[in-house]
Amino acid sequence: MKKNRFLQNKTFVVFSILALLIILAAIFAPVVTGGVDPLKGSLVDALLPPSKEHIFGTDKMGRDIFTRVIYGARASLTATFGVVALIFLVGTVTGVISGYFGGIVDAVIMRIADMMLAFPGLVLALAVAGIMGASIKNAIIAIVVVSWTKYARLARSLVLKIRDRDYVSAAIVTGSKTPYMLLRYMLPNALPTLIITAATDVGSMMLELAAMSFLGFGAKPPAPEWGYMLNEGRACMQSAPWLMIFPGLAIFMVVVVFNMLGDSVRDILDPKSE
Amino acid sequence: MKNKKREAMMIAAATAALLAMGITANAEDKVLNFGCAMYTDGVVNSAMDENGGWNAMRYGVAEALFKFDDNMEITPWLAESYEVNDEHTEWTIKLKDGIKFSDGCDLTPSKVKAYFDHMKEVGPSGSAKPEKYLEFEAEVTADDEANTIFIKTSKPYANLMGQLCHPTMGITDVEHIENFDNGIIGTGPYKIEKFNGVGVGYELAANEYYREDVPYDKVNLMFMGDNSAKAMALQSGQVDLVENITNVADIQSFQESDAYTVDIASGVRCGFSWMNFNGVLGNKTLRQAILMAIDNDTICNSKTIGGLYTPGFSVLPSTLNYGYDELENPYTYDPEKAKQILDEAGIVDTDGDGIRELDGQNINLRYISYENRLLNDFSDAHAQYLAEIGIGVVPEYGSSDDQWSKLAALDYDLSNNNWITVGTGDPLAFMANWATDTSYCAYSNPEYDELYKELQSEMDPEKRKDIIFQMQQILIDDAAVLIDGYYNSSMIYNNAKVGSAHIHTADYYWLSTEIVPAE
Amino acid sequence: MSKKQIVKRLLQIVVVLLGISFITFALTFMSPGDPVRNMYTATGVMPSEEMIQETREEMGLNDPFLQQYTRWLGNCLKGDFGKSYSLNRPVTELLAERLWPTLKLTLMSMVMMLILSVPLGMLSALYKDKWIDYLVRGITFLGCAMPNFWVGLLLILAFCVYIHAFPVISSAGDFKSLFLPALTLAIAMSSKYTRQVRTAVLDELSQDYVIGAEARGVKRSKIIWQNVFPNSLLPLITMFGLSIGSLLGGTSVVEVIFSYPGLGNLAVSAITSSDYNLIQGYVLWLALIYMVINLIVDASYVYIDPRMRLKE
Repeated sequence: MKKNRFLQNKTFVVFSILALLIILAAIFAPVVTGGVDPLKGSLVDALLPPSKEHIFGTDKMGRDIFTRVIYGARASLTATFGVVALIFLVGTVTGVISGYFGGIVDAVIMRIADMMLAFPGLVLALAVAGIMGASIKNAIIAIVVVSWTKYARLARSLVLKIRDRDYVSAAIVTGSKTPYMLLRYMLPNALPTLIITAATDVGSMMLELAAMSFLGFGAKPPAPEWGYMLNEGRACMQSAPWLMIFPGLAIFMVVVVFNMLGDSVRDILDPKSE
Repeated sequence: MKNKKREAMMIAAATAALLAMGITANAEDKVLNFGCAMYTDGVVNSAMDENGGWNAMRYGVAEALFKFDDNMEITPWLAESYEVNDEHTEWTIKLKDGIKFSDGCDLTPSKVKAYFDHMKEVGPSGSAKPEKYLEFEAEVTADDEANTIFIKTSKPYANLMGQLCHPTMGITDVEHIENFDNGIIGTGPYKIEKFNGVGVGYELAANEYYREDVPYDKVNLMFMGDNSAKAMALQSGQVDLVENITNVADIQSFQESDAYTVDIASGVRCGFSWMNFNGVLGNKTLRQAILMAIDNDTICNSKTIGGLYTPGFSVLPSTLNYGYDELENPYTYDPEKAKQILDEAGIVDTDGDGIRELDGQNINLRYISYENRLLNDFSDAHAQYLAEIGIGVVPEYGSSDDQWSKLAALDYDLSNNNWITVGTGDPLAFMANWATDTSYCAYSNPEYDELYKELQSEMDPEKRKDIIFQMQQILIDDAAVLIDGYYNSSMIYNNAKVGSAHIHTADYYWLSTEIVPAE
Repeated sequence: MSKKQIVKRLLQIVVVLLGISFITFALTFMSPGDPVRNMYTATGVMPSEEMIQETREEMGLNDPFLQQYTRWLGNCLKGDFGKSYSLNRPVTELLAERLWPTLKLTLMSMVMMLILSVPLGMLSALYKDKWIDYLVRGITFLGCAMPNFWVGLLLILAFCVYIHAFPVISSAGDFKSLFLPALTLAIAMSSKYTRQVRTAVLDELSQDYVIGAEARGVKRSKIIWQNVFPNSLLPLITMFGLSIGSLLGGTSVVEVIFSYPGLGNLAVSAITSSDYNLIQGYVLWLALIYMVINLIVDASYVYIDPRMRLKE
C-alpha cells in the first residue's frame, strides 16, 4: 500500500529520479567527465573562460571546473549524507532511550539537548572545527554535535506518546525485554516523522557544510568541494566569474532537488501537514 | 501591524537623516580615500611591534633619519649628512634645520636620542627587535647646539646608515605621545586624527608644521580585507588609491582602462619557501628533485600570477646588484630528470598509491602558507607540480602569525613567505637566515658560515658584492630554498581623483607629499 | 512573566553557559598546538624548551584540567577573558568593540526580515493556491536553497561594482554600508520565515471560530485583523526567536564577505589564527546574547497572549 502512495506522487517520482541522477553522476564521475583528473592542471591553462574544451572554464591552477564540480558532488554528497545519517542515528537513539526510560536518564539527556538547542549552531560548529583543525571530517563532527538535538527531541516526544498505551503495557506484562520493546514498538512509530525530518534536512546540512568550507574550515585544497571552490572563486569574482557561478549553481540545484524530495516525502507520509 | 509600520517609518527617517549628514560634510577639504591592507591591527608602535614602524612610515606619519631612493641608495631625510670614521665605529649625523613634529615641537638631536632610548627601554618586550638596526650598546650623544648626533658602536658596521632607514627607526616625539599603539606623533606630512578601530582604519589630517606643502587636508585610511575588496572598492569609487592589488586580472583591467593608472615597481621582496632540513627534506636528492619539478617561469607568467612576480632562482632578486646574471642554476625545470634522480636514489613508489616513499613512509610534505601576495597560489601550484613526480603535499594554510610560529618552531616541511631582502639597503640581515646560528630551517653549511662571518666585518663594497655572490651560489647548489619569485609592488589610482602616485622600490613609503590630487 | 519564571529562565541561562564553556574549554584543552609557544613566537621570540616549561608552570598550564577550568571560569566572572594571542589585546576589549556593529547588523536584518516575511506570508496564506501563493512559495523555496554567501557575492557584483549604489567595504557602519549585508542575511532568513508565517496563519484560518464567524456573516477582513492575526502572533514570535540563532550564525559568513568589522569577522580570524582565548570568549558572549534575546522574546508573550498570564 505504501509503495503505491510513493509512486503515485508525481513530485516524488520526478525528484527522486533527479536525486538518483545526481548520485549516479557523483559515483560515476570519471565516466561523466571523460576521465579528466580533477586534481591535475597546468598553469598555462589558468583562468580560461568556458569553451568547448572546458565547458565550465578553468580555475586558478588550470584545472577543469566541470570536472571539479562533478567530483565535488562526491565530497559534498558523502559529507552531507554522513552528517544527516549521524544526527539521525545519534538523535534517534538518544531520544528513544530518553523517552522510554524517563527519570534521570531523560533529565540529563534533555538538559544537554537544551544546551545545544539554545545556541546558534554555525557559531559553535565553527568554533569546534576551528579548535580541532580544519578538515571535512572535523566539520562533519562539529555540525553533528550541534544538530543532533532536534532528532532527539522529536524521537523522545514520539516515544512518550505511545509509551503509555495499552498494548505496550500488555507487552511488558507478558515479559518482553527492553531492547525488544524499543525495536518492536517505539522505533517503528517514531520512524516516519524522523525520516521526513531527515529528508528535509539534507538541503540545509549541505548549505551548512558549504558555508564552513567557504570560510576555510572544511575541505582543504586541492580537493574539489563546492564550498571551497566558491572561496577560491571569490578572489577572481570580476575577472573570472565562472569560478563562482558554477559551484554555486551546483549547490543550489542539488539543494533544490533534495528539498523538493523531502517535501514530497512529507506529503506522502503525513498528508495532514502542509 | 501598526507597530511594524511605525518601525519602518522610523528607519526611513533615520536613513534620510544619515544621508543628509553625509552630504553636508565639508566640501572644500581635499580628501584622499586610501585603501590598504592591515598589518597587526594597524598599530603604529614602531619600537615595540614588528609591523608598527612599517605602518607608521607607510601612513606618512613617521620619518627616519635617512631613506632609500629607487636604487636602494641612502639619501637624506631628517638628517642632511653624516660622517663616519675609517673603522666604521663612529658616526656624526647632521640633522636638517627647521623640522617640527606634528605637535609643534622642534626636531632636535635630544628628541632623536629620546626615541633611541625609548627603543632600548621597550624594545626587549616587543616583536620589533630594534637592536637589529641600532645595537643597544651604542652610545648616543646629542648636541643640540651643533644639531648633530654622535653614535659610537661597540663593533664596526658597514651599513649603519642603511639600518637607520628601516621603518622601526622612524623618529617620534616620545615625550608627548599618549597612545603609542594608535596615536603616535611624528614629523611626517600627515598626522593621526582618529583611529577608527581594528579592521576599519585611520583618519589622518595634514601636518600643519610640515616643511613642505601638504597636498591633502585629510586622508581616510581604510583597511581592506583582501584584494578583491581593494579592486572593487577602487572601481566603485569608495577609495581613490590602493596599494598592491595582487589579482592579475584586476590589475590588467585597470591598466587597460583610461580612468585608472597602475604604477608597478620591481621590488626587493622575495617570495620563497623554506625547506626544513630537520625532516625528510634533509635529503639532498629530494630537494634537488623538488626544484627540478617546478616550472617557475610558467607559474610566474600564468594568468594566476601574471607578472606580479618575476621568476628567479636565487634568494636575492635579479634587480639587485649582486651578480644575478653570473649565477648558475643546476636545477632548471626538468621533471623527467627529477623522476630519474629519485628513482636512482631508491626513492620510489612501492605500493602504487602514486606517492614515493622514503624510509618506508610516504613522502607527504607539510606545506605551511598564508594568504598574502599570492603565496597560497604558489603553494597550490607547487603541490600540483610535485604531485606529477610522485611527491605528496599536505597544505596547511592559516594566518601569517600561524606560519611564523610554525617556522620558528621548525614545525613544517615547506613554509612559504614573502620577505624584504634588503631591508636596510644591504642583504646582510637577510643572508643571516641561512647562517647556522640564526637559521629558521636548520640549514648548516660551514663554508656559508665562513663567508657570513667575513661579510659581517668586511667594509669594502666591492668585496662585499663578491662575498654575497658566493653565498647565493652556495645556497643554489645546496638546493636549500624553493623560490617563488620576486614580488613587484603596485599602486593603483583613479585618475579623476589622484594626480600622481608612485610606488617605491622599498615599500616603506606609501603616503607622501608625492601623492597629489588631480587637477 | 512571573518572577519565578524569570528566575528559572536565568538559572537555565547560567547552566547552559556553564555547559558550553565546559565544552569549548575541554576542546581547547585537547587540541593540538601550544598556546605558550604561540604566545612567544607571536612576539618574535624563539623560546627554548626551559622557557616554555617555566611559562607553562607560571600560567598554571600543567595543573589538572578541572583546576584550570575553574580558574578560567573565575576569571571570566570577573570579566577577564584572557588575552588574545594573535591580536595581543584583552579579549574583552576586542569583543566589546565588535559587539555593537554586529548587533546593528542583526537588528537591521531582523527588521528587514519582518517587513518582508510577515506581509508576504500572510498574503500567501490568505490567497492560498492562487497565483500569489504560488509565486511566494516558489520564490521562498528558491531562497531557501541558495547559499547565503553566494547571494552576498552576487549582490556585491550587481550593486557595488556594476551599479555604484553601495560601498564595497562596509566598514563605515552607516546605513548605506549596512544595507547589503543586512539584505543578504534577510533574504535567506525571510525565505524560511515566510513559509513559517504562512503555515501559522493557515493553521489559524482552519480553526473552528473562523468558520463560525464567517457563517455568522462577520466580514472576512474583520476576522483576519482582529482575530487571526493576533492569534498567529504567538507561534510567529516563537519561530522568530528560533531564527535569531541562524541570524547570529549567518553574520560570520556575511561579515567576512563584506569586510564588515563585526563579531563574526573577528571570530573567523580568531579561528584561522587558532586564538583559543578569543574563540572561547566569542562563543560565550554569543551564547549569552542569544539567550538574553530569547528571554526578551519569551517575556513578550505575556503582553501578547493573556492566556499565558492565566497559566501561572
